[in-house]
Order: sequence, then structure tokens, then C-alpha cells
Amino acid sequence: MRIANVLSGTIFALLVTSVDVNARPSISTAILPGGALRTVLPTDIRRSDVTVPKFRLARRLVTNAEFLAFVRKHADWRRGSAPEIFVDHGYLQHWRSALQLGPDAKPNQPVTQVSWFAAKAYCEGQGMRLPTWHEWEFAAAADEHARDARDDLAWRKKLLGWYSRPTDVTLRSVGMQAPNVYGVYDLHGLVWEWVEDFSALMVSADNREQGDPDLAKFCGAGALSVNDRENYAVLMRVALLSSLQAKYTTRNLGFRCAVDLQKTSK
Amino acid sequence: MIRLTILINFFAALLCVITTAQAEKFPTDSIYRLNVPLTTQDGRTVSLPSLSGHVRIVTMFYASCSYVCPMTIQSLKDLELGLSEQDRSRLRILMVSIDPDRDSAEALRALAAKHELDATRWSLARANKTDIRKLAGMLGVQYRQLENREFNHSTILTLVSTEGIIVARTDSNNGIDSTFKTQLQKLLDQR
Repeated sequence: MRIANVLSGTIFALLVTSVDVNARPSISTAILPGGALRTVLPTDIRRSDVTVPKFRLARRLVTNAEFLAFVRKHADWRRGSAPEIFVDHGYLQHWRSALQLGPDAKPNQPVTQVSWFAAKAYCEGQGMRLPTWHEWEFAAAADEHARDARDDLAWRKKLLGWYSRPTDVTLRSVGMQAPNVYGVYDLHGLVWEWVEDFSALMVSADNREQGDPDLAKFCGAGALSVNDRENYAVLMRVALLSSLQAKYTTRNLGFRCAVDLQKTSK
Repeated sequence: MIRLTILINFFAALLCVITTAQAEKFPTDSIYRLNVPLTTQDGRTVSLPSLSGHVRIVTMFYASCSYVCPMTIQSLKDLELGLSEQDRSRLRILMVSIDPDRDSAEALRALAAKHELDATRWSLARANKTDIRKLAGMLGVQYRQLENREFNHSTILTLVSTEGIIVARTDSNNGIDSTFKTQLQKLLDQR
């Protein structure tokens, strides 16, 4: 009886350990407290805020080295093997080959030229997921000192400075800028980021359809207009993301992963 | 209960392994490369790749939508009526719900009955939320849920070949355009 107990205990421990090793994200994450967020994309026409649940967000963007490790394990996501329905022709084209980074893709630079499908597959491979737009927006509202720095004109100006820089300059390594108040790096100033629900960002770039709720285009209710028009840095993100297809890849579009809080709590 | 969940997960994983192999036989630009389980109005769970082999129109919708979605169904029915009986019998239609919280198999069955949709040719299906996003990503469908439980969504119809190659797209709200109809007829004539 006791032997059986010990044995089953050991087997259980082994099972738990092996599950733990496989499923536990090795990615360093920060806890984002969630709460009410004044959003540029409200889900209710009469309100300007949404409630973001508490969640974990990766502190750093996924790097070339990390994505290389992923495609080593998952042959079906290698350049040349990933199905065309999931990636366009630009997929990882800056790498030397399917399994070599080469001079144009430094190990610590954020991986770019990855599609939404590839980004999603990577996060799922870590037992994680992509952040939603509202989660990203929540995290990106913070600067180094404040949880919501969006009304800080100096900060806005600094962000816009990045957006006006040419996109063909070499990308910096991840984690080189100061982290924000939650300990998350590079939400601004490095690359654009995929979000889980990028295809929920249904706005015309400059609200051309405002005043005409455009019932013909979207079923259910008229397309909502965006709020907080002075927040150009975030609105540019929305405009970019809403123009993408899930298989698109671009030179300055990367991603980071997120996870529901209960999944990582020990 | 936990054991049951584990068992279900195990079989889901097994199903996934089996159908991954199935998905790989399709061309690299086929929608049937996306291996997701769908539960149809009759309560059966099938994989997306298992729906290959027919000329098919795919669209996304939600059952409680009162304004545009009935129009989508009507325009699809009109499209069917314009086909010969033989062509009609070859065409399949797949409508995937973006509202899995409310669109149970029963709700989908009720909608199919209300619109008198022929269950041999029309599949109304539900999937889990992350798979719905994947499907939408592949079809270029945009949608978002609002606080009032309504959705905004685009009403794109996608025409795919028996192998799952996307041949044409149209926005059903603007009326199905003639290129789409021509492409559909071409596909149906191929066999």
C-alpha cells in the first residue's frame, strides 16, 4: 500500500515536472494590474473606457534568436516551409537562411517580418498568447514613472519623434531603453507589435466615415469612431494594424507574448 | 470532472495530431491548411480540412444579428437560385459564428430552420474564440464585440475551390458582384 502510494506519488511528481517543463513560459513577464482604461477604441459608443483584466505581459519583444529556437523545433514555421496561407513572401526574408540569422538579423534584435499567424504560433508554443489591443494599450500608456503618461505633452512629443524617424535604420537590441513603470521594455520606440485582435481594429484611418455610420460595411452596429484624437502615436498604431492582413510581414513589425494571470500563478 | 477534462483534452490533442497530417496534403495557399475544429448546427464536430472536396462559399456572421446578417443569408440564397439544379447540388456554404457565447449548436439549428436552409449544403458552425480569430485572419474578416453584446463585423464572402484555394471575395452588403458569380460558375463547370 505504502509502496503503491510512493510509486503513484513519484509518477505524479514526474508527470507534474514534465508538464511544468513543457508548459511553463521561460519568458520574463510583468504583472499588469488592469483596471479601467481610457481607450482610443471604446467598445461602447456611450463610454470612453474599457475594463482590462489583470494579466501578464512579456517584458521584452521576441528576438531573432528566440524565434530561431522556435523554428528549429517547429519545422512547419521555417521560412520556405510555412504555408503561404499563413505567411507572405517577406516572411523572415532578412535572415540568411531558414535556420541561420546572418548579418541582417542580430540575435538580440526584435524579430520582424513575421506574420500574425507565426507570432500567434510562437506564443502558443510558449503556453502564452498575443496580447489584446486593449492590453497593449494599457501597458503602453505608462512611461518610466507614471501608469498613464498619455496626457504628458513632453512624452507625447518624444514618442512622435520616434514615429518620424526613417524606418530603414538598423533596429536596436531589445531591452535597451528604460523600462516603463511596470518593467516592460520597448512598447514605444523600437517596432510595431502584433496584437491578438488586430482584426478587431475596424476604423478608417482618418475617420472618413464619421457622420455616416457605415451600416453597409459592418454588420450589427455602425463602425465606432476613435477617441482621443490628440494621441497620434497610438492612433498611428491603430491605423497600421487595421490595414494589415494576418499573413502580412513588414520590416518593423514584431511582437511580444502575454498570458492570463491564473495560468502562471504557482 | 478534472479527469474528464483531461480525457477530453487528450482526445482533442489526438484529433489534432491526426488532422494536422490531413491538413498538410492541401496546397500551401489552401484555407484547409488551417486545422481547426468546428461544431455544426447538427452538433457534430468536424475539422475545417474535412470540409474540402466541394466548391464552397465561406462567411462569418452571428445569429442574433438583426440587420445585415439576414441580408447575407438572403443574398446567398438568391445566388443559389441563380444556379442550375445540378450546380446548386455541388455548392456548399459554410457560415462560421463569431459569437460562440451565444451561438450554440441549438441556436444555429434554430436559425437554419428559420431561414429554411438545406442542411446537406449549408453548414452553420461555431468554434472557440482563438480559432475564430484565425479563421477570420485567413478570410480577411474583421470583427469586434461591443459592450452591448452586438458585434461589428465585415461581411465578406470568400469563394474557395475544392482544394481550398481562395478564388474570389465579395462584400455581400454591396450585392454579390458579377466577378464573384463568374468565378463561381467557372469552378462549378470544372468538374
